[in-house]
Amino acid sequence: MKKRHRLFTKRNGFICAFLAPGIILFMVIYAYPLVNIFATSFCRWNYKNFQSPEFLGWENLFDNYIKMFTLDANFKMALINTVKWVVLTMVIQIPFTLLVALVLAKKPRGWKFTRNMFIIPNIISTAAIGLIFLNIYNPSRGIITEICNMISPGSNVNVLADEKYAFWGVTFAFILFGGSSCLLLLTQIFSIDPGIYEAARVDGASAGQIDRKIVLPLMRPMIGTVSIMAANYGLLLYNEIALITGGGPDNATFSLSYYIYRTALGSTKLNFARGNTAGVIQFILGILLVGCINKVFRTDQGD
Amino acid sequence: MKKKNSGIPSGIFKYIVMLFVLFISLYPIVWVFVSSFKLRPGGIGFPEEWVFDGYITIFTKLNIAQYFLNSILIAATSTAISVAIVAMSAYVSARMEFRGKGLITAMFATTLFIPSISISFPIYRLLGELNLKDSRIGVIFIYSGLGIAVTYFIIRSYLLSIPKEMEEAARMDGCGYTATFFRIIVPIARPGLATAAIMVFLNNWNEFYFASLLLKSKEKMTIPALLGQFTTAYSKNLNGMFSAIIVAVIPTIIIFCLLSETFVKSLTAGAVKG
Amino acid sequence: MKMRKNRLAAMSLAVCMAAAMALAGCGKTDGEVKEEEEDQNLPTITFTHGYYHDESEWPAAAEMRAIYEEFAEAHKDEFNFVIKADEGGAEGIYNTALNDLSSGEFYDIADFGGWNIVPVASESDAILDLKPYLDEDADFKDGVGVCYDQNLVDGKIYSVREQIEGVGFWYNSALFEQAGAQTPDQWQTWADFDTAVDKLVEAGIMPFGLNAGWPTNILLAGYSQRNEQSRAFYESGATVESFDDASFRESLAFMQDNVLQKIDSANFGPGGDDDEQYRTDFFDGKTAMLFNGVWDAGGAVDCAAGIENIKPATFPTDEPGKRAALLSGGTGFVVSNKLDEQQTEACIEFIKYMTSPEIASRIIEKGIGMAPGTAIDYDELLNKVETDDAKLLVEACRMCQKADVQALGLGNTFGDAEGEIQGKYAGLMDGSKTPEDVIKELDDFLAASE
Repeated sequence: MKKRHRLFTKRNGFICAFLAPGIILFMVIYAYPLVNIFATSFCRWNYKNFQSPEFLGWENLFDNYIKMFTLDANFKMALINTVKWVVLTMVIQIPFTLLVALVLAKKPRGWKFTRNMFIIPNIISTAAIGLIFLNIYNPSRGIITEICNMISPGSNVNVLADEKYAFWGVTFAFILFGGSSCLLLLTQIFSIDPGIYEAARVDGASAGQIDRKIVLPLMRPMIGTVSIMAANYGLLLYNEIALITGGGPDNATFSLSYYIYRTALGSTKLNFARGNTAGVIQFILGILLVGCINKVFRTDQGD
Repeated sequence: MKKKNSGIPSGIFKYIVMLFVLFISLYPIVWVFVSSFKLRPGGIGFPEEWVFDGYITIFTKLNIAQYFLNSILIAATSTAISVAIVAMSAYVSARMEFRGKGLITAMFATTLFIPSISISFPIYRLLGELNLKDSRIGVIFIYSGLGIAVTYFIIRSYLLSIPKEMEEAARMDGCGYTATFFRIIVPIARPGLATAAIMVFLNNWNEFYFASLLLKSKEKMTIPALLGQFTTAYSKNLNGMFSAIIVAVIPTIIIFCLLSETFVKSLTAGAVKG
Repeated sequence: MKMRKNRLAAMSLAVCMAAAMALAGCGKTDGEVKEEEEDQNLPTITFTHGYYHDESEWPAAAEMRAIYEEFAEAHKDEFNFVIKADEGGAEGIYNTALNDLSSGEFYDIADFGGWNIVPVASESDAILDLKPYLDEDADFKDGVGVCYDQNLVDGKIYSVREQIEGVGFWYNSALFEQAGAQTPDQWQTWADFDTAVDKLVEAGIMPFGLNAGWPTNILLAGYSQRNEQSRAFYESGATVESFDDASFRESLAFMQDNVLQKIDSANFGPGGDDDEQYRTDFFDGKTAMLFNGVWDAGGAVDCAAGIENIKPATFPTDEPGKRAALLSGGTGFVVSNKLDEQQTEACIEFIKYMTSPEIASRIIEKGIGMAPGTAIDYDELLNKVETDDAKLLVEACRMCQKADVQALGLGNTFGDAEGEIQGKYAGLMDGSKTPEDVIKELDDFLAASE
């Protein structure tokens, strides 16, 4: 029997060997940026001292944070929008994708085709999505305006020029496109042992009951994983905003990612310190998100 | 035979959902396809005159075969590396107990939220020092690291659902740890691995930011750069861009449809064997 | 069976990686071989530019590359002038330069096509001051025209450009006639603009298409040149501390009452790079004016509005008969200050070549854009070019060059604030914001971005 206290057991060696590549990859690519984001959020770093960020000093440690939260209306908008989008993703995209997965799992005619086509919006390059939705929302020729004019003539809705509508315009450019999540959920459903279905049916369960009491619980970890991915997409939302609204109208559709880009790269002042400060906030939000989802779905425990 | 699902409403409901999904998935791409034949793409309706200029330029003037080759090479290689590395870490984290296990998951999770621009400078410097600036190897290296969080969660989640009995049975049979992994777990986890691989591949295929930063010479560029060919300083050639989008997407869809057939077989066969 | 499959997978992985390395390696050795063919004794300078486009897509790009090649060829016995095109365009060059600067490097010489790398590059002490070279050579100074004054910061000039963005506006004379309105070439002051717009609206013709961006910014900038006071405020844009200025308030009120509220929402786009509606509407003959630069002469080719009706114009001012135009140089050629003397001389030689009258004429002739040189003979050019759109370009360039007031574009002078300003247009248009509100929001933005 192996002694449990020896460090260099075969088991430990195996664990280390298998973890090593992943850890190395992480260290090389992510470790430095991670530390950098936190460290420079306590510095002054813009185009004037581009090669050497300057520590703010212990008295002024949180200057960047304070300025950003109190003075910057764009940051407030970005934060609120991002939180809204994350919530919307959880409330709209996950249930919808789950529904589609359950439907497709029953294998109605054409289910394979539907499953394959559902992925398409996820694999078209985002530049295309941008162009497509710009056209849909076009104030003179887009279908949205045309449909609105049919319902209430003369309303002449200009989706992207109206602060209220632009937010939803951006939302619907991504929220229903859950093709890849659907794929994952389907993979999970199909790996359930058919024997379980048989047993349940023998016991007299109806199709609805099977779905609710057996399939859903067995899928719980995967639903959690898919939720993390979807919420993360909402948290990091950038391409749709940059291409469709440019953050407008009047900065009403800023997201955290877009704010970071505009403050750091998209500005003549290249205020990287402020951008990284927002990055820290984004990071904290993300960790909270993953923590919550893991708790709710108990993704850590296999069944 | 299975009893048909309760009643007609349920049956029709399924088809309504599927039709809705088909509509929102296909409308964009069909619209782009039809518009790519218009002189000035936009609006609904068929083109008044069918224009093929975009496609002609793409297939004759631009070196599209080279772009495709580069994209396939980079995406495939980085996917293989990424999935392999992450699968090993995910296996250990999902199936074995050891100190600091939560730390591994946390480590992968943190990579989700770092903005790309924060990674850009250090990566650029690193590649510069390794003399890999305008090379495909550099890009493969970066791409291998880019999607590790998502891959990790997918594979781990899939592995968690395999019953613990598998390993115990393997140990009983006298397999070492490595053998257990390669001979028992990997085949069972193949659907999960395949799905993760597909997701990573698609992501890397469309990645643009790092590709444009790290690949400068014409013979090394990837497909997303195709769109840039039609944007001048003063205007955009929409007809060209739409044609480029179609050319970039259709092969991906075809490959995906073909591949999905092969792993469907393993999906239905991959149920836990006794 | 499983073993074989695993071995197969591992082998194919290995093969993939080997193939990848081979291909990547191949690329490198090709480059090395080429360099060896060049003479080892001559200094080498690498010039990076953004004109990567294929000739069928953008003929101007091919023409620029030809111009570069001729220079390299002419000087091949003095130095190796290596020309590289960055497939990411000017933006790609800018992004790469930023990344390079973070590790203390910079291009030998590059054309930044308007993307302003100068503040960060000069603070990092990476680039060359061109002012001494300009001051000692009068032809050189003439060749760069407005770039000299515009790019003079703290006594240094870090960049000049062989092209500038000349911006006035275009109008459709047929539509003006139809409405019985006075055409822009006859306008004396901005009051005439108002009258003309009202006449057009009465006749049911849309005076112009705008959006929350570029064309509206042009009109605002043009209007800001109307008198001394407004010009002074406008010029201070880069260092402005507060937008609470009487002339700026007037400009906003003008935009709200006399411009934005004269058009309907279908003709006001959301802005952004892809929003070209305002241009296509003009060339389709649906609107009477287009606020865009001289290069849009190219848009008039085969247009529904009829190229014979399209004419260029510059802005009026409040002083009768005086005209204003926007001429923006921006950042063009930037040279590293870490080169040795021979290399530096070669770079200066190149810039002089690019801003010389011969090349300048060629740039205008071939429809590439407008050149800043003050010594260009526009009459001669007008006779030389043959196509209608080329003649329009020459005429537009001439009008801009002759304008009494020449100012920078809105973005060049206000920097980041330009993005904020253009976000306010929608609010001004539907009346939800007053000029006062806008000024307050802009000031908040300035305070926050400190």
